[in-house]
Amino acid sequence: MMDRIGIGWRSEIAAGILANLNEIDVVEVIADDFFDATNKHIQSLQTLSKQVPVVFHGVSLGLASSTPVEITRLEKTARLMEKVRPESWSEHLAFVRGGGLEIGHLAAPPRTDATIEGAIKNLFLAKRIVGALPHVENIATLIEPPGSDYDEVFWINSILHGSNAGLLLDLHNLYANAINFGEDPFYMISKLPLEKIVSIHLAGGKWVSNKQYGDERRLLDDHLHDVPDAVYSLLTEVASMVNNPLTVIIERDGLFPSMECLIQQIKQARHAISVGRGRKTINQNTVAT
Amino acid sequence: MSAQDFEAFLAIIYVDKNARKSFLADPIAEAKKYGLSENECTKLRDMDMTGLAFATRSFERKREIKLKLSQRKFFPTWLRFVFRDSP
Repeated sequence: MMDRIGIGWRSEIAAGILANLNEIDVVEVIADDFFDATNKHIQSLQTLSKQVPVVFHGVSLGLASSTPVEITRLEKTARLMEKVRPESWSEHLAFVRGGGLEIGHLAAPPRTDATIEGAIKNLFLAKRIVGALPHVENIATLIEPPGSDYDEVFWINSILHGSNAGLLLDLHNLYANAINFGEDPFYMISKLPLEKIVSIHLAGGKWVSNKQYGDERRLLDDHLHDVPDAVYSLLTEVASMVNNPLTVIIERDGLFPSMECLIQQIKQARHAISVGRGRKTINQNTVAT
Repeated sequence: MSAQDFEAFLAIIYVDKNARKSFLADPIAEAKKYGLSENECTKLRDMDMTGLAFATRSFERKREIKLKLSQRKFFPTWLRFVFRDSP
């Protein structure tokens, strides 16, 4: 299997995606958008999946929590998977609700034994109900998760080890967290279990500041900007290290540029992977000689 | 208290402006009021308060966007493109 580059399916760029399938290897569909969809909408997804490989991406399960994931959400995922039969599905290592209150977005839980155990239990439950383990994605956070005992990489590794799930490595999330909290993104990547990395997300973001805190600013992963060069460099790094074929998805949620610009980013991702794979081959040949 | 209670408390201060204001005024007292342990209260007092401001503003914007999107019709625009090539 080859490395593949694709894009997140969004209604605003649907026409552009369908007109450029020669450049797009795979599309990622937000599963939650179709939980309560009509038959007609499901049929449209089925039609889409006949034109291009489709993977599902979930955003609301809240897997990384000491609270058990809601069965009804898993059942909806299972029904959708059964109807559309995507290649795979993924979810975030996030908590999204607590005490019955919806946070409204992906939040980083305390990195503790309790959330490691909770996430592993939730992943096994997801596998039992949906029929397959999701790939799990590292999230971006603007706040160092309160109450944490572990760093991000140790926490992620523990969940991957305990659940045997594959890693959907979001390179902009990793990059933003590294920048915001003084880490080296290349070092973080080197500490991840490379054999678990099966797919990649690329996105962009912007700097945000808060007058209340003087000059302090943080990098927000907003999916509204082009993928920065630093993230392509990280993609090259990953491709130079892993053996698995990678499925790379460019995520864009708004402020859509022209389709030509998005296709250019797909090409740039393809180039970044190619450079990394080339570097890997050279390294292997050097070792062999 | 349990890890679930700690997460629930975080959810409250992430979402509820008034609860957050009270927490920022006196973190230990507010966390204690919720029944969290001494250790948990200390962790909350020492948390990344700058990050709290950044994160809660981001969460609030996300909730606003979701609300707007939920008021829109379900994907009215793209169906015709998918069905264009269907058999």
